[in-house]
Formats: sequence, C-alpha cells, structure tokens
Amino acid sequence: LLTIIFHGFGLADEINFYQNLNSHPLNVDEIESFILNQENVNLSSVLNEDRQGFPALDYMLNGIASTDEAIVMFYTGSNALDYTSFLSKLVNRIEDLTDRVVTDWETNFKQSFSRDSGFFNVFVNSYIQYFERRLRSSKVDFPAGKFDGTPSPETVESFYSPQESRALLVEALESSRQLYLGNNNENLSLSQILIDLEEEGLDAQIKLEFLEAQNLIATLDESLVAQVNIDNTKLLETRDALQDVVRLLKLDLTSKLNVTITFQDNDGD
Amino acid sequence: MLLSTYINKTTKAAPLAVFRILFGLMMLLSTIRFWAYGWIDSVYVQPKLFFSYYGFEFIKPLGKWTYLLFFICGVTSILIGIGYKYRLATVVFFLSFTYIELIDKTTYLNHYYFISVLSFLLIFLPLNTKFSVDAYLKPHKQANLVPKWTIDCIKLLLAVVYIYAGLAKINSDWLVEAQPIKIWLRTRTDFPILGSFFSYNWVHYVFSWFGMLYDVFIVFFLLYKPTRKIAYMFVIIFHFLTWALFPIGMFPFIMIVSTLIFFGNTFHEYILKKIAKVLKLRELNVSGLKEYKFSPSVRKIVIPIVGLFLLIQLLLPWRYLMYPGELFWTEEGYRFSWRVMLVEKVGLATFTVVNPEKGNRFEIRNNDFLTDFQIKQMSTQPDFILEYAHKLRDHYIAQGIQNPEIYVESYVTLNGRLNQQFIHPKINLANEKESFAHKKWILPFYETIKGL
Repeated sequence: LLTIIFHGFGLADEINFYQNLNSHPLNVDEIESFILNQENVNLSSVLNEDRQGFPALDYMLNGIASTDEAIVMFYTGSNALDYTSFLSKLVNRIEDLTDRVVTDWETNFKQSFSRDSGFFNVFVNSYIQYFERRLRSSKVDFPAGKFDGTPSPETVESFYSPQESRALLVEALESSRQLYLGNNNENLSLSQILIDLEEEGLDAQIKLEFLEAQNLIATLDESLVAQVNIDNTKLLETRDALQDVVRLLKLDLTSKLNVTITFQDNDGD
Repeated sequence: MLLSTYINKTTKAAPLAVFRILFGLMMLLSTIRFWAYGWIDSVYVQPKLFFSYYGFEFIKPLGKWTYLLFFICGVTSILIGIGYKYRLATVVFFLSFTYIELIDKTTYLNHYYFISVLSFLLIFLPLNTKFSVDAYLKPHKQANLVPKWTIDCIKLLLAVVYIYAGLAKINSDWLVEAQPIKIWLRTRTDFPILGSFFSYNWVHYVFSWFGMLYDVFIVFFLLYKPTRKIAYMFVIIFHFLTWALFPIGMFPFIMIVSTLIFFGNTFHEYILKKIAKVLKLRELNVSGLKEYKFSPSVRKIVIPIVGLFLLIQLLLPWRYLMYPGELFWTEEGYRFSWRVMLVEKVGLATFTVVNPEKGNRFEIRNNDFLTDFQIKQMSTQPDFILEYAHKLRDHYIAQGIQNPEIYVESYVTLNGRLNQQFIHPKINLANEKESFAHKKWILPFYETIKGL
C-alpha cells in the first residue's frame, strides 16, 4: 500500500486517495455524530476526508474509550449495531478506494509508464512530494510544531495508538529508501540511473543521508506523542535529517535527472 | 564629416516593411499562444504576491484586467503588421507589453526583454512608409527610400543579442565541462533520430562549442553577402533544434524571421511582391526615388534617443563586472544581458519567522503564498528571496507580530554541482534593504567558473 501511495497521480490523485486514507489529525468531533446518523453520512464528500481512513479506524478501535474493556462495551452495548456497521463502512471504503487505485495502476498506468518517458517526470515528482509533504511534514513537522511554533502531539499519525507512531515513520522511510534503491532483482532504480550517469558520488550521499535519518529515528521514543512531550528537540533534529534527504532529492537528483520539479507550464530561456 | 555622411545615406524601404509585417504577425501569434495556454490566468491573475523589479514597484498587477492588456497587445500587433496608425500602435504596444513584463519578474525571459527593447526602438523608425495602410491613406507620406541607419540599428540590436549571448558562453562550465548542455541532453535519448547520440560525452561538447561559435559569429556571416544564404540555413537549423529540445516558446521563430533583415533589398522587394500577389493588392505608384526624411526638429530628438539607446544596450550587459563574486551564483547583473540557457539551477528555500517578543519560531510553507512557478524562480535568485522575505515580514506585521525576524535556509545546485548553502542563514532578511549594491548575505560560491 505504501508503495502505491508514492504514485499520487492518475486516479489516486483524482480521488484524493492519500487524503481519504490518512488525513491526520482526525476530525474527531464529527465522528460521534457520524456513527449515530449513518444514513446521512457521505464519506465520498471532500469535506469528510479527515473523518475516515486509518485515523478513523484507529479512533474506533483504540481511542473511543480509555480502556480496552470500555472500548469493547461500545461494540456490545445498546448502540453496538451502529458502531460495528460504521466500522465496516470505514473498512469497506478503504478497501474500495485501494482496489480502484490498484486496478487503475495495473490497467492504465503500468503500460503508459514504460512507454511514455514524460511519466518519469510525474513519477519522480510524486515520489519527492510524498517524501516532503507526507513523510516529513505530516509525520514529523506538524507534531514538532514546525509551522506554528507550538508542538502539537495530537497531529501524530496514530494518535490513539501512539506506541505505533514511530514504527509507521520507520516503515514510510524504509519504503521510500527501497523505492530509491529499487528491488534487488531489477536493475532499474533511481540509484541505478544515477550510477549509469556516472554520478556515484551523489548516489552514495543520498544512501548515506537515508541511513543517517533512519539511525536518528531509531533513537526516538516508540511513541512520537511521548517524544514531543518529553523532548521535542529530538523530533526537530529528525526533521533536519529528513530535510537533508529532501534537499538531495529535490535539488541534486532532479537536476541530474533533468526532471522539472514544477508542473506549472511556462517557457524558459 | 564621416558620421553625417553616414546619417544621410539612404537605402530601400522594403526591408523595414517586411520586418514590420513579420514582427506584427509574430507578436499576434505570441499573444494568442500565451492566452490560449491559460497563462494569463496562471501567471498574472492567480498569484497572491508578485515580484517587482527594483524601482518599478509602482507597477501593480491588474487582476482580470490583464486580459485587456493582452487584448491591446494583440490589436496593436495587427495594427503594426498592417501599418495602420503605426507610430501610435508601436507606442501602445511597447507600453502594454512592457507593463505586463513589469508586473512580475518571475516570468522574466531574455526573449520578452528583447521584444520590449525592440518595440521601443521601432517607435522611432519609419517602418510604415511602404506597403502599409498609412502609406495608402496618406500618399504624400509614402517613400521608397529610408535612411540607412534605420535598418542598421535593427541589425545592430540583433548583433548585440547574438554576440553577447555567445560571449557569455565563453566560460569554463560551458566549454570545458559542457555544462549545462550535458545535463539537458543526456536524459533526452528518446529524442527522434539524434537522441541516440545524446548519451555520448563528445556530443555535449559539440553542442556547447557549436552553440558558442554560432552565437558569436553568425551575424558576421549574415552581413557578408557570399556567406549569407548558408548562414541563414544555420539560423534555421539552430533555432529549430533549440525549439525542439528546450521549452523556449516562440523565441526561435522570432529570431528566424528577424534575421531576414540581413538580406538585401531585392530579396525584400521580392517578398513584398509575393505578398501583394497572394493578397491581390494593387501596388502603389510611388516614385522610386521618393525618400523618407525626418523633419530636422524630429531628427534632432530621434537620433540622440536611438544613439543613447544603442549605447545602453552595448554597456548594460557589462555591469556585472562591478559586482564581486561569481555571476552565475549571485545573479547580480545577470538579467538584461542576453545570458541565455547558461545555467541549470535548482533551489530550495525554507523561511523561518521568529517572533522576538514571544521568542517562538515557525516555518513558512511557500505554497501558502506563492505559485509553483514563483517558488521555483524565487529559490535560486537573491533579489527574489529578499523581496519575499519583506512580503512575509509585512504579512506577519499585519498579523500582529511586532518586528518579525525572517531567516532563510536555502540551498542551490548550479550546473550539476552538489548543492551548496546559498544565503546566510543567520541574517535577518527583514532588516536588509534592496538596492543595486552587492548583497553581502549571499554566501560565497566555493568553486570558480573562469571566463567572461
């Protein structure tokens, strides 16, 4: 799934795949009323993007009450039907959107990707955009309070099961790294292209910065919520390490690959 | 006196008439193209902030009215082409086109500057004495002969464009490293026919060296009659290739038609005859020796203006010598100098606002203020970075922060080098002033690029 998320184009872009599946923080105020008035809830509405997906599942399974017993009560108590059906509604929506994007990728994109060289531009752009906006900003910058100066732990990705939040960050970074390195069996990857262009130095540096970011993240608390509360500077340092990767990808990689980082069309000199 | 004999020399008016028609046509097509691509909206209506040229801050964006300005450009292009109310049309075209360019320096291109400069020059030249509606309506104003200098100064302007573009390519990046041509070509192996060669190193050198030699010498081969035809073939091949390889819009075609001015009178008279035949126009019966003469009082004004204008054109590109540091890095004195396709730069500029009262700091997301295109241009050019910092400062003052401090973490890669920090990160840009003086907060470039 994570690998699909890189491909924020085609149908995935049209239907705001990522936003529907993983907008955090969850707009939690609305969820309660959603559960009790399910007939009137249209999850396809753009307005409801931050009221569904994995953050909503996280809330329904981990955040609806403070203890496991109390949570189970919701699914066995008087409104149990409402809760279970909303839960499956959330799951079905995730499944449906994912199926559509996978089909779109396999039918429309896989082929044109290998045929149309312009697609490479799109691909590299959405890869870097994912890294900068989703991985760095959503998972680290916002909790660390980078954009308003006040740390906000409630924006951590799996806020209701915070012990998973570092693992999610680790996973996202590792997937990004794997995409850069390519599968072992295939000799085509961003890394390999750089090597073919005799840019081994840059390739080595990108690999190094990936590892440095990974090493730093390994020293964080497994709960990023706890990390923000205990010592936010470590999260800010993580951001700087991720920014080092962004810089190499966004400046040096795109420059060497002759990929334009903007889609806004215009003439050049 | 040598100068006065030169000033009084005359030649046929046909080249000016052809130039006028083609210029009008090209400007009309450029306007339509820009409009049709939706760029008026994306470049002049959508952005929330605009980057002014230093000294031209009074030029304000016009929102939806920008369309009217483009419409005026289109209409005056037609008027110039057919030669109706020529003087008024060139003045209005020059003003409206230049106003558009001054709205936002994000869109600065040497090509657009060329159009502004050329249309300014055309205001003073008699391009409507022949084959024009003006000549048809006012037979007494018709003329078959014009002062030779009126054609020569267009040639001189074209010579400046080419030769200065060529001289700028005499540097170690271009000639020794074949950069940035290498970066641009080696990933274009999908290009028809030639593409399979683009991965070879020697091809990058051939392109670089040929490009430099072409720019420096093409004008001389166009001026010299025996080589003129073959030189013009090179003009067509060169500009067609750049058009196919790089996103440079209408410019190649504008140069292809402009350089026709180097051809002789017979060629241009032949073209006019052909156009007349196709459009079934009756030829006006003008005496072959009827001469266009500036009235003495007009001449007294026009010649100094044109002379001064050409002098400025010759000198302005050298102003970079007055700045310390590497020109390609600082870009101080870079614009208005025909430095075309010389650098491949990508930048990343992250701004931080500090509220000194509360002592807290937060980072700016550039997308909240600028378009992608503006972000791209801003990230590699110090004057943009400063102006943006000032706009951020003003924005946050309005938001209630007293004396906000603005810092930037910025990195730039130049012609394939690994990125380097660009602007001093500890300088509070809110306090720095824009001026023509050297910006001391640009960090030094750690390598040297030798050459002009």
